[in-house]
Amino acid sequence: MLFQAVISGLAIGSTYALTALGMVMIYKTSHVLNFAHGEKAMFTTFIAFSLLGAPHVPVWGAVLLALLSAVFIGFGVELLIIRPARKRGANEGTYVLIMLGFFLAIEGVAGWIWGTSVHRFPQIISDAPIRFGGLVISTDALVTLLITCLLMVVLYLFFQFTLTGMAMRAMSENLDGSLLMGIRANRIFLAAWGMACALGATAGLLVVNITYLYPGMMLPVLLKAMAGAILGGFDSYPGVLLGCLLLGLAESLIGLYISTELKVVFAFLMITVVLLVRPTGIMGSKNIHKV
Amino acid sequence: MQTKRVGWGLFMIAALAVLLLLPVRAGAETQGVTDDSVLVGSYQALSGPQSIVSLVGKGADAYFKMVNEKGGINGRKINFIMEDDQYQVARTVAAVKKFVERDRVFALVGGMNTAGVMATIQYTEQKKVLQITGMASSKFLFPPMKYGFSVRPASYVTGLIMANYALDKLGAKRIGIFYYDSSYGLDTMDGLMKVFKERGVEPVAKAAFTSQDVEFSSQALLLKDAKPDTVILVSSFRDSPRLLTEAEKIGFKPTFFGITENNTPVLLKLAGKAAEGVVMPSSLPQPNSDMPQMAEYRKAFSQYYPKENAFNSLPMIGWSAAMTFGEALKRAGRDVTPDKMVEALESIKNWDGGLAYRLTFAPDRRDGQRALRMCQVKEGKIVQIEDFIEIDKVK
Repeated sequence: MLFQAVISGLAIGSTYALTALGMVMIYKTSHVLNFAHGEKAMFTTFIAFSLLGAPHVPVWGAVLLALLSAVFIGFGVELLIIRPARKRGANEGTYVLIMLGFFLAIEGVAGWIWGTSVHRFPQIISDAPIRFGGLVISTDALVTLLITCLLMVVLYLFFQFTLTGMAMRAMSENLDGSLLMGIRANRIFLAAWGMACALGATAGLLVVNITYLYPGMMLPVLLKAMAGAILGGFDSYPGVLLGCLLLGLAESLIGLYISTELKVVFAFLMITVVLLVRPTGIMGSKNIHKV
Repeated sequence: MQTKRVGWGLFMIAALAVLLLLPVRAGAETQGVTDDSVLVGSYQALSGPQSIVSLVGKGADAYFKMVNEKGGINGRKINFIMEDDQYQVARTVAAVKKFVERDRVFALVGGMNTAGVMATIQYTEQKKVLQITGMASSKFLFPPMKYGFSVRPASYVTGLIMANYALDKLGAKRIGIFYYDSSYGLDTMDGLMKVFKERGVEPVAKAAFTSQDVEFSSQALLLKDAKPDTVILVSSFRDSPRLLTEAEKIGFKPTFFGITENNTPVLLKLAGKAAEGVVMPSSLPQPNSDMPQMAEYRKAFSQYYPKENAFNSLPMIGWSAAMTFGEALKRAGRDVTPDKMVEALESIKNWDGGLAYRLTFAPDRRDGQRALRMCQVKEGKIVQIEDFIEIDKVK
């Protein structure tokens, strides 16, 4: 029982981590807290759904097109919403408001295009249970866990060894300095938004098997993902993974051994306690200002 | 100076006298009723995330349109207006105020949103505005209001009927309950637990969930551990599938007994083969029944709302509420007032009109239906396994 709860907790935790990755990428690069991240993931999942329903579209084609549309949506948000705001000197608070508005807009548009009823998303990855010992994990949960870990490795290599990755790191540490060093900031912002939205789209496609497809599907997931990311350290990718896995575990164990209806309460209480001790999260970098 | 003061004083007394005398004149005619029409309002979630529920309003609208085409009731046509409240309490309050004070409606038909109705009920009771709703909430129905009625079985009553059925017909010995921590969830629990306590049965496990829960693995594990033979699902068709698929995954196979909110093909779509064998009640007739009232409903609803699916319980609830209003209007006669409508409604006993089963109202009873029929998912289809079970006393 305990081990099964641990497995289930890790499975849902990796779903939160995958959702949080794109959000953290945006935050690290442009200091925008992207509340609409989940909604964009939902939107691209709906696009995939429509494509899968269309005749003569192979599964991999629909997924690829959905990811591509995510990249373009990301470009669009950066060019049309964030860049003008940045030019006008928006601060972090302004971005929060902008993204909240965008959140409402996307949810409304999605409801208008696809209706508000709940749909079953076609099973791209089988949900057949994999049994080992007395324990069981569904195939798509295992795939989510593996993809999340794989992406962590890919992102690490990207940020360490590619010019774009290094440029993103530089910009997140010191934007003015980066510009002075000749980094084409606008292009890097575009790349960051495109990548982050693609990450979000991946999360959406994997989460949909648990949440089912409807305009409000991502909100509870996003809130948990944010909470897990804050727990682990919002500016650290390994921190995000750690925090989200811990949150998933906590929910699962608290739900089983303490109380099912209070599991969210206790989980958030746990996060609050950790933040009192380490305000920037377990692996977040400390905010030290040299005087 | 002093003359001016006395002048003002006289003026105030005269104004007060006029104001006091006014009400005697104003109450002369019934609001919302003219020689040839009756104005009925309905607050519905026409937009927003819960907009699917607006099918209730559309069902009511179809009924009124059909009736008007046949010449109306007692020589009056029914003007039905809907207002969008997006299922949000603040908007429901605003909509109701607008209906009563600006549009001056006679009655409200088709309310579904518990929070919204409860926020406005004191106001509508005070203004004597009749409400014929699809409400199942205990707060609304017990103790009964004067002008607030419902055509849908109360969640509490559903709990009573289901608990007895589980013990008597499903042979349940060890019972687990999975429930949504919300007003309808808790109302249903009250009903279930009342019967269980009376019959000396203690559920072996209770697992709650909230709207913040993304998945139900811990609930499923908790329930499985207690080894129940029957699990009652107090959750809707959107949440039950998640538990059903999780249970299937971990090899947990009790008899699942879900509340009426599960009785829809959408459950089958979402849960797939995990839904096989699930038992669930229904308060309405079979969608494809050949009862004349059902045929009439299907014809009218498809005519006025061709894009919507008539085989859905939501428009059926709206139609039922509207038809009940129509019947009361007929019985009240030409000289109609809110109190006469209440009398007319209270004269409805074991009525098989509407799409309700043996609808009955009384001075101490505002929940019209206390009966459910039982269905089960067999080979991917929802089939009836037991005809209507009715109970009489609830407290």
